Amino acid sequence: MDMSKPLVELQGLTKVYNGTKLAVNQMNLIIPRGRIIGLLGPNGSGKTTMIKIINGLLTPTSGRVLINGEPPGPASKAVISYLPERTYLPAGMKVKDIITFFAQFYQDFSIERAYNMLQILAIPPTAQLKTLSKGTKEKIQLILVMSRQAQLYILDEPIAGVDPAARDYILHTIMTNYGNESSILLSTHLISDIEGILDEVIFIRFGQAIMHAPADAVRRAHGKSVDAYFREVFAC
Amino acid sequence: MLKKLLKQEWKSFFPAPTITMIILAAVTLILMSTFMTSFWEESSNIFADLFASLTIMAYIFCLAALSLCVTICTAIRFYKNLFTDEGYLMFTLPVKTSDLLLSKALVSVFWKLISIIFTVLSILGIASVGIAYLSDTSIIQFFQEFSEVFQELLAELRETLAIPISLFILWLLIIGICSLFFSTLFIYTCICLGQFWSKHKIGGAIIAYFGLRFVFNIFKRIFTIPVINFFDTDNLSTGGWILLMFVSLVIMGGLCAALYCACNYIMSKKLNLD
Repeated sequence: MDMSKPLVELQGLTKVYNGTKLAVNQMNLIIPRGRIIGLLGPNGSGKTTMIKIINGLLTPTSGRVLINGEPPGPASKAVISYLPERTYLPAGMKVKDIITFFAQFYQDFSIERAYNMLQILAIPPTAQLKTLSKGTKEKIQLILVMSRQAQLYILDEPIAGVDPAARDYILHTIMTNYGNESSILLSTHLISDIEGILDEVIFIRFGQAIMHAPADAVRRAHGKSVDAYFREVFAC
Repeated sequence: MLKKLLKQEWKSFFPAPTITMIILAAVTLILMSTFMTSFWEESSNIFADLFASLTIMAYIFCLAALSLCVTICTAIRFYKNLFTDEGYLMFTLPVKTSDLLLSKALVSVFWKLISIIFTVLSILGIASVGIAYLSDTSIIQFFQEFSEVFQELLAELRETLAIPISLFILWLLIIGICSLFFSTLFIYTCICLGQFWSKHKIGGAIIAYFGLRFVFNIFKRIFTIPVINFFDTDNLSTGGWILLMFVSLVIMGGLCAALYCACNYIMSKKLNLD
């Protein structure tokens, strides 16, 4: 891994679904190290598609993604901790089984930290995943993701499905569990909830990054919060 | 990482075939015990006849179920674990795509092998007890006669073959294992091809299954059958046998490699998880 290279670099990235639907359009973007970046855009703007391409779950139509200078592969997956917008936990497993599973495959996974978070959120380690609610499963996924010491955390809608009381804990977990050299790419619609923790924001529209700037600079330049500015830019 | 993947795959794969095997073993034992007792002589009432018919039906059903169970598990495990939501977990693991594929194929082939051995043992068990009952001899006598017939068969093969029998058996084993890999990779390839459909991916996999079957049947007619016909196995020299074995292994191995590469290519270069 070449640490002198950008953490993530998108070069002319394009994704077309079914030959007609343009989801990501010639996107060029650099995600630096040690920052919390909000990936903001309306529904269907291409956020999730971009995230899935970075994680190697989608093949781009053209262009490329480089993580530490390398295309997505085992090496990039070892340094990216990804929270998808859906539940992926195998139903037949117990909570403690999935923790063991992560510990086996990710060298940077801390079992102690995972159990600590489970205890705080009152999730029994012996519970069968299929018996848990969608919100609890999402919390478990977040625990799994944040129990790693990754270089990049990609969180796709991390707080959308959980109750407001848990949101504060989740945001606190995100803030306290990532290292100084790590970055967090956070995609969400609930901008007001996360605005306070963002260092940078990326606005996405029609599959293109229309703005990438420090959050403070956006607030200063427009005299309003990022949330208010987002509503202005993406007003229907 | 392959070792860890194999362990995970094994844990997820084993319950259904194991349960089916336990049921088959139970039905086999029931059927064997009926032969070992005087049940068949006394089965003059309707309930005993019904019990006998049901046991035999259950046995045939279990035999078919075991083979079907392993095939269904192979398909479902591959599809569900890689191409549904679980794929988000599996494809973000720091492992090579080829390792994901290989771990699933190895576990599936292993279970296919186990199910074949188990089926043969079950049939042999029932045959030994059944024939011993029908011919009014002991089971030991059955196995003695079975061994004699087997020895005769081997002796006949030794005369026919111009190569050592051990080499012939080794060839059969390798071809057998290759064909198990082929059947597993065939299912995987169909599922992978099904991913090219934007909707109805399972339907796409089924269409791919029939399409591939058609392609392989043509391949068989053009290449495999003429190759086998070319070798007259009744009057084949040592060199001829070795060439036949080599050619068949190359064809079988080549087909397996082609399917493996196709799956690996789709999974690593054309992956598009919904």
